[in-house]
Amino acid sequence: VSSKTPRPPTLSPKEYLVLEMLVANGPSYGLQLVGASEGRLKRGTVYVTLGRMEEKGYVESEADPDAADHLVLPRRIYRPSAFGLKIFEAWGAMQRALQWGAAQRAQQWEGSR
Amino acid sequence: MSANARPRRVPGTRLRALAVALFDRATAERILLPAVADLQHEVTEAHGGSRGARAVVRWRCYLAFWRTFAACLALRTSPNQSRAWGHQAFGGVAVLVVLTAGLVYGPISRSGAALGSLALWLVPQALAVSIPSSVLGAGFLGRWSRGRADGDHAAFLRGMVVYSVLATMLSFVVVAWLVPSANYGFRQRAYIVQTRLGPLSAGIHIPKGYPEMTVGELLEARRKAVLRFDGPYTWRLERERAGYYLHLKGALPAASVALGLLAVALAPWRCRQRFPGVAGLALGVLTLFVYYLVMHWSRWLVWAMVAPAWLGAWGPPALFAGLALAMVWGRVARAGSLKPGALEP
Repeated sequence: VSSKTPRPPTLSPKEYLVLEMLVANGPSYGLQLVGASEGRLKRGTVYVTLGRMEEKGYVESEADPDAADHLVLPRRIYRPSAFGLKIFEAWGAMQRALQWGAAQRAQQWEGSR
Repeated sequence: MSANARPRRVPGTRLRALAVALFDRATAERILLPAVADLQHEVTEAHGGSRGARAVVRWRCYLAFWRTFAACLALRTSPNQSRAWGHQAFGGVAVLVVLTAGLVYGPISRSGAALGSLALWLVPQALAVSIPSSVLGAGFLGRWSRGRADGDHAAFLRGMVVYSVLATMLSFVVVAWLVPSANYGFRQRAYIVQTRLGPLSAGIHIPKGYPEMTVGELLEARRKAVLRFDGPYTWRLERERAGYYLHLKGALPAASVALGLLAVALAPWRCRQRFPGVAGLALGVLTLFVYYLVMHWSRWLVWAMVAPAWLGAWGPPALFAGLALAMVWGRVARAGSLKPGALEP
């Protein structure tokens, strides 16, 4: 691969988890994701992950349009972008294919014993 | 609302202003302000609960914010980051090399060729001054790659934190261990060279001055000062002098942190100038001059028995750090009523 070839997009396990939860639960804010992740996301780093994903174009965000109290900052609501959904589906398909391949190899190995 | 009623104080207002004042727009809006929003919502929602429950919620929220804040400092936020760090390191190292060379060359050139071979012994003493000064170089000279600031506050702050901490550690090693032995070694050899004792010099040990003593020796000197019989004024003065040099072993390395804070506080002003490089250089030279002037005065106050030794040694870094924090706090207070990114240089 030449150095000028753009790197293919990658998805870390945390980013995959965030996209998985956003797809399953719909638009959410950071603390909802932390709560739904059952300890896999931490509240001290969730916005770092979300900020990085937004920079990569995997998620989009907007200030909560239903915010009633104007004295406090509105919460930021995140949803997967069209690009993020594509990456999520491709990554999921790749993982399933790899798991299937690994299972096939394991079966072959068991059969040969 | 009655005349005495105060407007509702929203928790996290200062943190919000701090995020806006210290970080670039993208980092503040994407990472820090959502954390502040969570804090404000959670603390507000916990209002009906017991005092203990409210304290737990508050503590958890503030901890999460500061963890996010620390993560922002450790975050790779910009493709230009390595270049920004390179400029900071270049500014710091350039000041370090030039100032060290100047401080060594000065006394050697005045004393003639006889002491030229002893130049290396003066390097640690010069480093004790040039390492804290190089922090200003990193802050004021290392950030004008495109004429103006690149807006990446997080990378700049991160670079300053790393540089200041490294400078403090290195400075402590130099001041506590290298300077005493190098200063004494220089004076001993200079004495032998100037008196032309040659082989007769074996076994000669000139008395050590306070700047040539280690921490243990200074503690001992301070204890023994009380035993002097030439009057209470003299022993008190000697005890204060020994104490001053003892405190200086911590205060000199602390100057790196104080000057680093000042560079952070003044960086936005510098970047708004038409020629930020020239402004940075002038600001660095002026800051350094004022710092060492204050240090000189504070030492004079100790020598005149007006101020205690600890105050004379720790006064200058404390004063500069306090000044820098007050400037940052002023920016934070002004940023409280501004939109994110409004204070970017």
